[in-house]
Amino acid sequence: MTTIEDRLRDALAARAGTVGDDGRPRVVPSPRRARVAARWWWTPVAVAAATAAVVGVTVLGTRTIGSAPPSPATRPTPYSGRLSPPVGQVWPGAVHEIPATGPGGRVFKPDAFVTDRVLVGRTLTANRLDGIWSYELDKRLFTQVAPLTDLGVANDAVVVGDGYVAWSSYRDGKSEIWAVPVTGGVPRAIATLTAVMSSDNAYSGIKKLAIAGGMAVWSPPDGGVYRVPLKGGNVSLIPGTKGFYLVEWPWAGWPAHDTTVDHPITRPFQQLKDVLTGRSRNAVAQKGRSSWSDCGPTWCFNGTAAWQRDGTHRRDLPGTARGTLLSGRFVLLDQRDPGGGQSLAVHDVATKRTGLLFPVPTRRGDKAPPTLYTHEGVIWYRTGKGTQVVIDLKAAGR
Amino acid sequence: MNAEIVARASPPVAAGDAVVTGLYREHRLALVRLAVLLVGDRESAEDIVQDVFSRLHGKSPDVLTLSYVRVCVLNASRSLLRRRAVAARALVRRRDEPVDSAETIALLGESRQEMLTALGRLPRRQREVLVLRYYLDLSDADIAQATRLRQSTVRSTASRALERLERELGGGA
Repeated sequence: MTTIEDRLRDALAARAGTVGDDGRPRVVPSPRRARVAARWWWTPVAVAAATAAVVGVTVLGTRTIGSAPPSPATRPTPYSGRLSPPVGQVWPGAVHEIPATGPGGRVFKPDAFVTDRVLVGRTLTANRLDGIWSYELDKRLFTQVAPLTDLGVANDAVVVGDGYVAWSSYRDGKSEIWAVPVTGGVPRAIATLTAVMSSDNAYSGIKKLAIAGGMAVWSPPDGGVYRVPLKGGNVSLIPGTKGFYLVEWPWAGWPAHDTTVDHPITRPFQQLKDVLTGRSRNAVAQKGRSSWSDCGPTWCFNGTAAWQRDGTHRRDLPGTARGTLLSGRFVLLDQRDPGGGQSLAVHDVATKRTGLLFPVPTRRGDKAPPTLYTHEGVIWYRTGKGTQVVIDLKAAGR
Repeated sequence: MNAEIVARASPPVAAGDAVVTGLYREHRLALVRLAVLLVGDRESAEDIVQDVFSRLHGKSPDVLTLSYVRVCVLNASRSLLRRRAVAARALVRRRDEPVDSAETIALLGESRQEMLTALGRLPRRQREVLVLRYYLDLSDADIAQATRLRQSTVRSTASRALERLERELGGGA
């Protein structure tokens, strides 16, 4: 009986024996040049040279490309100075104090100015929308424009234009756009569209509904500028607007503010396009900066400064700006006085005028500030004394 | 170049090349056979030995011994097996294990082929120890030196490898 060692020895010898000598004369393989010892220094020298070349080209490239010389980034210092005068003093013709409730104790929420003296808004009974009403400042008179019986009305403000009031609602997976003459009448659904739902099945609404040229125009959450005649008709996508969002008729921009993504949109509406003519306007960042908070067809701003879209007319803001651009030229500012007080102000970047809205609590025991509502052309807040202050931004900008 | 350096440097290089030539002429075939047992196929074994000798030029004659060249072949075989393992992992479904020719299989017979297949399935270190011990008849001390293991480790490795072969092949034939 053979052991496993014998079998192994036999198998190994047999396998090795299969490699016979073919009798061919063979020469010793020639040496490998790369392994010559005298060249040991070559590799680190080559690596160092390549690194230096890459660094040099990069430095040269980044230092020479671009018109503006680099300047150090500066941390925005909080504005501290004199508080601005109240809005009522700055724009007396644009600030109105009106009743907070309408007929029947309905809560009135101002949405838009039809003229300087007439505004429209929604009314709520028991916290539910029940109608659209107008309010005449001179006569102090509320008038019903249309009742709202559909509870699917979205929480977006109504918009006015061309003698119509328009709004959007949601029902059964569809977005609807409604319109009614501002003088009153029966609301009509002028467009029905498949609603865009987010991944968690939330309704995202209609972005930026507006009325222009006898049409209702808007952008859905997935982009594009659509229009439909106010008297009813076919909904159409305006050619060349895919991916763009309505900013201010006829301007559509990209990229839009988006809170559903996990990163900030650092250059909102960098590209802007006139949807009627195709003319474009691209925004320019300030020297030493690469981002901004918001950018409209004319003005852009970040926390401390505003400038025109082409990068010119830069001006420092008398406070720290927050939020988005309102009506294309207004920003909200946090203002601090040297005594530690803080107030919210609204600033017109075109005229550099600033009006104080209300103080913001900075110490324990300070009164809570009211909620500030911002719509297209209107900002308003409740005074807590049965009235509300409505500021007509269009009138303030004149 | 400095004449003195040339005078001093030239003789050892020439002497080294002569030693390399001698080793190649005398032991090439045996080294190819050793490599065949380690990597499994003749083509790879031939390449390994050629490669090893091409790197021996310029070495001092003092280090150029048969045992040194064997260790070089051993190391080169390990490198090849490592490259094969990486390739096999990258191509999961494709196995590039060398296959003996039909002629070789016929020459060896079924029993030996069985043994060699079982040897090929052993871990690399166990296979090396068995080949060095049962093909080259090296002592445990020499095996320890060639494989950079302690002698006790060589013994235990060989013992475990034989046990495994016995388990797989069922003892005597």
